[in-house]
Order: sequence, then structure tokens, then C-alpha cells
Amino acid sequence: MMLSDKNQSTLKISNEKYYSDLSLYFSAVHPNLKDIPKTKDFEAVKQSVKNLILTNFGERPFQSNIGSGVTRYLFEPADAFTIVSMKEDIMKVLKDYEPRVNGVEVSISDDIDRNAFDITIKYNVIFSPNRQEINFALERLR
Amino acid sequence: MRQFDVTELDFDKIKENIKNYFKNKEGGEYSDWDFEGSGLNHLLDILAYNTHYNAVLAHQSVNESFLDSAQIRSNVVSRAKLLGYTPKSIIAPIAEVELSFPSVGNEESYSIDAGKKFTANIDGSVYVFVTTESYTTTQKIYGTGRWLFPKVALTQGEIRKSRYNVDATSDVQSFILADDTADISTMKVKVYDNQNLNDSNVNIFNKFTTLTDINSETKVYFPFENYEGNHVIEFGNGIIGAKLDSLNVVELEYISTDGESANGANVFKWADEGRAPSSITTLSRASGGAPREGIESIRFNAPKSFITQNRAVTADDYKAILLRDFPSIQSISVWGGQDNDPPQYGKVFISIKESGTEEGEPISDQTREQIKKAVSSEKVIAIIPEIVDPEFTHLYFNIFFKYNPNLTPLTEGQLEDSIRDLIQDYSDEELEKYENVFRHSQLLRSIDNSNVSILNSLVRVFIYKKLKLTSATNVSQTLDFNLQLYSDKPEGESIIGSDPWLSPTGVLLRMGDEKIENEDNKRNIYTYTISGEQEVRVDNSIGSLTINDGKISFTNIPVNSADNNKKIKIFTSPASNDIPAIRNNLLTIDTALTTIDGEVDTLSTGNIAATYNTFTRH
Repeated sequence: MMLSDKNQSTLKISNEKYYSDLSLYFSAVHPNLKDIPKTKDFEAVKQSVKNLILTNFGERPFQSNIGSGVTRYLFEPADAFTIVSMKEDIMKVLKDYEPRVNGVEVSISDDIDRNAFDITIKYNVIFSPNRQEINFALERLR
Repeated sequence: MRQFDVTELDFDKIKENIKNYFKNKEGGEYSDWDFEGSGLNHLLDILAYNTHYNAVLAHQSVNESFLDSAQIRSNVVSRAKLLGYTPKSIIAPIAEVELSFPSVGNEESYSIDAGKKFTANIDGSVYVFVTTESYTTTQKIYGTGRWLFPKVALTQGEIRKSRYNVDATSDVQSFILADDTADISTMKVKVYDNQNLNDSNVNIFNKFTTLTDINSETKVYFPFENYEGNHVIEFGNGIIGAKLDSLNVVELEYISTDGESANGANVFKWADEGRAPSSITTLSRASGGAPREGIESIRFNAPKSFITQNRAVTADDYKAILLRDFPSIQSISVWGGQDNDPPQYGKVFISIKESGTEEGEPISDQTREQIKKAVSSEKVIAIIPEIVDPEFTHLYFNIFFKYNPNLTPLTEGQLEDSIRDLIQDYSDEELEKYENVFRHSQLLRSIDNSNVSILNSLVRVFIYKKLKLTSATNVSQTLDFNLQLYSDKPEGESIIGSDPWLSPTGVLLRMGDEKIENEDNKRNIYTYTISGEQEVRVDNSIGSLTINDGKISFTNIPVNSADNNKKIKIFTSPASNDIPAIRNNLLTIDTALTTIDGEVDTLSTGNIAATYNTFTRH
């Protein structure tokens, strides 16, 4: 199976596994292999989507355009306009940097009691018709 | 398998290389290198950042290790130190004045102390000048009874003193002078034996110049610039130079100056207490002020100073020594007597242009003495250095250009102004240096390139030199253009011209020249006056000129006493459009005399039926 990324270069993906990535949760060492765990396929894409959304502009060295910058909305009025802007930013970063997902649907609700936004993203991974979902809360770190 | 490319320096390229390497690795467990959100991509960022960081560090470290490529001042200074070169500090301008003071009672002499203050105003800024030594006179002005000081040097700035107690337990005796405005070149270093700071107790230390005369007792200090850019004065260790003792007190006395900004001051006022001078006459205006040596200058001078090895043998040696010791030199020319015209064997000729001096201003006596002193200990003994004032050859042009008005929003007048600015810049930046050539085609090129609408140009080159008239009779004078003159003119037409001046009988005279029979190279110079529209010959011969070397000799120019010392211009055209500045000649462009004429290019604007004017050489 051949897939193309945003740069139009081609990726060769084996039939057994489509995607495999390093898990960024280094603490959980595989009990038998004694190695850091891998994330595969749906989980790999999910990790990538979440990483992209939670990255702020300028955070990655020399690549200041990568990221969505949504955390800045935590300090904006929690109204419909802010939510629309957040949705647009999330859609944009996924469109630009994550070619493996399509049919992205973002729903955001404010959680005033926790001073947070609840974000739910639904999407399809290109090799599967099954709908995937990520749900996380966007809140202040401290 | 793909190899690592290790020559890249950019972050993006480094990351791409690592990515390609892992992507193509056979049997690799991971595949998501390409996706910007993946964990692997984060890992690549770290690897690439680290590689980039180290590459930049290595690159900069190597660059900063060499005099040619170092960018940080402390590193340039450090490299120069290895060549035995100490960067020059800021230099105070010096002026010379004649002072007269009223005498009181039956004084037998009168003295003024060091540190007496004067002020001068330049463009609204007031600068303080001081005497750096004391002067005593017994000379009086006849008839007035006033004390006369015929020559007093005034240095711009204020005298400051910095004292340090010596701690002899330290291995290195160095003292930091954290003052950017300190003129180190004239600094006095005194070491008192103990806390009792009086003159009987003081030792004067001199600046280290050469190792040959140094022993364990020699009173020398070693100046250098430290990592922070401060001046440091270091003393000997008891082997090379005298060592300091614990009770000693070091005193650095220096001038804190404004440097080059006070160049040109020529009206001085007394600004101290006590008896004020009756008159202050400026003999030479303040000159020689220079800023602290910059890194490009250090980069240029340090290797030359090293090559010279404190010996003045070749012309370049003289240049290096003088540029090292006189930061105020803007341009210098040195030539051996054998290259002089006429040759004078056993001499070396030095001509300098100091910053802050103007045309026709002779090199001051003080600077002459200082230059002779600077080279005296380093020159070959039988060679006599001679200092020659710079001579200016002025260039002026008739400039014509064609332009296409459709290609520019500028009017003809604005284009002409921009060309005038351009030639002024050309004069400032390219000319006004010794051993330089005015290159005609270079100027044409810069005119053509100055605006896209300028299609072609023509520059006619003319030159003039100034001649100082004297009303004394039978005075021979010469004027040397140092180049072949343009002589291909119709019979009866002069190849030189001049400004008018008054004859002893009150007639306004001008110069002309004519062919001498049976002489191809020599022409006679006569004077004429204009009566109505006719030239009327006045003096049949006041000198002659030779065409092939541009030498003009005057035997006796008739001048009215009203025009004594008046400077007139002698105009001519050079045979070649490229004009070299040799020996003590400096070239400068007179933009005021230059004419600039623009004309719309009729063909390029589509008017095919129009007639087309072309410019001609003469």
C-alpha cells in the first residue's frame, strides 16, 4: 500500500502494520522485551494528532509554524467565538501536518468549574472506515 | 543502504538526512519518521538540533581562532597580541596657540602650569582643552610689555589620575584602567615608593617597545587590552623589567578625551582661574583626534606591524610604523628618494593626510617632529626622512547622459542631483587617498548603473591645481600636474587657463599659453586681460610648461599686493582620462565646478522620426 504525506513523498507501508511510532510515555517499559513500548496504527495516529494539537507555535526548534497554539485560548473569554477559533486552529493543524486523517470533526465544550475546555475530535484514519475518537481536557498546567 | 551526509549545516537539511537514513534502514521497527506529530519526529528534532548546535559552535570556535575571521573584539585583540600588537586607544586632538599675558609688577618671567583649561565651541558643543605641560617665558611683546608664549600645545580633554596600591604578593602586577575615553598614547605612568606622594619619591615608567635594552631594573610598563576591552597596564617581574614592591603606589595620569569629534576646533577661550591671557592666536587648529582602533583596523595593522619587526627599511615599513604610532593618519604615502622627481638619493619622503585637516593645511610642526622621532630609532642610519605636505589635484567633469523618462519617476533635475551625490561619494570613498587612480570607466559604470533609466553617459575630465600668488617680485614657482596634458587643440588655443587676479597696475589678468617655435613639448605662458570682448596681451612670458609631464614653471608672476597669498586655480585637460595620484598627490572631485546635463533619449521613447543627438569627446 502506498500513501502520500503532505510533502507528496511516498511512504511504503507493510501489509501487517501500517504505522509504528515511538511511544512518548517512556516510563512504561515493555515487561518482556525490556524495551520502550511502541505504538501502532490507530494509537500511533492518535498520539500524533494529540501532539500536534498540544504543540504551541515556536515550540519545535527551527519549525515555528508547527502547532495549533490552542492553549492560548485558555486566557480568552469562554464564549462561542473562542470555541469557533479553536476549532479552526485544530482543523488547520491536522490538515497541514497530519495527512493520515480525514473527515475531522471537532467538538468543544467549556468546563467552567475546572477552568478547562473539553475537546473531542472524531476522524477517520485513511486505511480504515472505522471512526476514531480522541477526548481530552485542555487546562492550565499550573 | 543510505550513508549519512555529514557536511550539512542547516537544521532542515540535517533533519532530512537523519530522517532518510532511518527511513531506509532495512528491518527498521518504526515507520512514522515523516509525520510531524509523531514521537519519532520529536526525537529527530532533538538529534538535528544537537547536531546543528555543535556544528555552529565548532564553526564559530574555528572562526574566532584566526585573526582573519574573528568577529569578537576580544578575540581579534587576543590574536593581535600574539603578533606583538597593542590596539590604539582613543587619541586626543592637539592644537597650537600663541598666548600673551599681561605682566604685573617687576616679574622676570611668567609661567603657566599644566592643566590650564581652555574651551572651544564646535557646532554648539563645548570642548575643553588643557595644557599638558608647564611653560615658562621670559619673552615680552615689544611695546606692550605683555608676556609672550610663542607656541603652546592644547590637548582636548581633561587630565585624570588613577591610583592603585601595589600588592606584591600577587604574581602578576597588572592594573585595569576601565575608562574608554583614556588616551593611552600620552599616558604618564608614575610609581611612588610609598604612600608619601611627592616628587622626590616618584619613578617614571616608560612604555615597553623592545626587549634589547631591558634588564631586571628597567622601569617599563606593558600596556594591553584585556578580554573586557579595558586598558591594562602590567609591570615587570624582576627579570623582564623592574618589579614593584608592596609599599608602592601606581599612578596613571592620562587625558580623558572626546577624540575625533573635537578635530577642527580653532577658536579658544580661557576657562581657568587666575590671570587671563590678553590674546589667544591659533597657530594650528585641533587635529589628530581619532577614535579607538576598531577590529578591522587591528586586523589590517597587526600583521603589517609584525612583518616590519620595528625596522624601517622599505617604504612599507615606514608606513606600518607610522600607521601604528599615529592613529590620526587618514592616508599615507612613502617613497624612496630614487623615485622622487628629481631623484634625491639618501632620502625617504613621507606624506600624510591627517584626519580633521583640510586642503592646503600644512602638516603641523609638532606632527613633523613626532614623525621624525617615531622613525628615527628604527630607520637605516644614513637615510634622512623628509616630510612633504600633501598636494591636491582637483578633478571636475562635464557629464552628459541620455535617459528614458518612462523608466523612472524622477525628473531630469532629480537624476542630475543623484549623479552629483554619486560623484561626491565616489570622491570621498574611492579618491582622497594616496597611491590611488581615478579610473574613468569606473565612474562611467557607476553613473550608468545609478539608475535604470540612464542609458548612456559621457564624462569629460578636467583638472586644476591651486597656485598661491605672491606679490614679491622675481619669485620662481612651480606647479606639477604629474601627468601628460591634452594638447591636441587648434592652433592659437591655450591648453591651460586660470582664475583672474590683479596685476600691480590694477589690471585683471588671466593666463594663456602658446606654442614656442621649434619646440613640440614646451609652451610659453603669457598673461592677458579682456578688453571689450578682445584678449589683450599684457606680459609676453611669465613662465613655461612642458606637455608630456605637466610641469609648469613660473618665473615672475606680476601680482598686486591686494592679491598677495591669493590662491588661483590653474585649469587644464589631461591627455588620459585615467588619472593617477602618485607620491604626495591626492585626488579630489570638485562637484561645484562639475556640470551635469541630462537629455531625453528620443529613440528609446519611440520617436523614430526624431533626430538623434550624440555627445562628443571634446
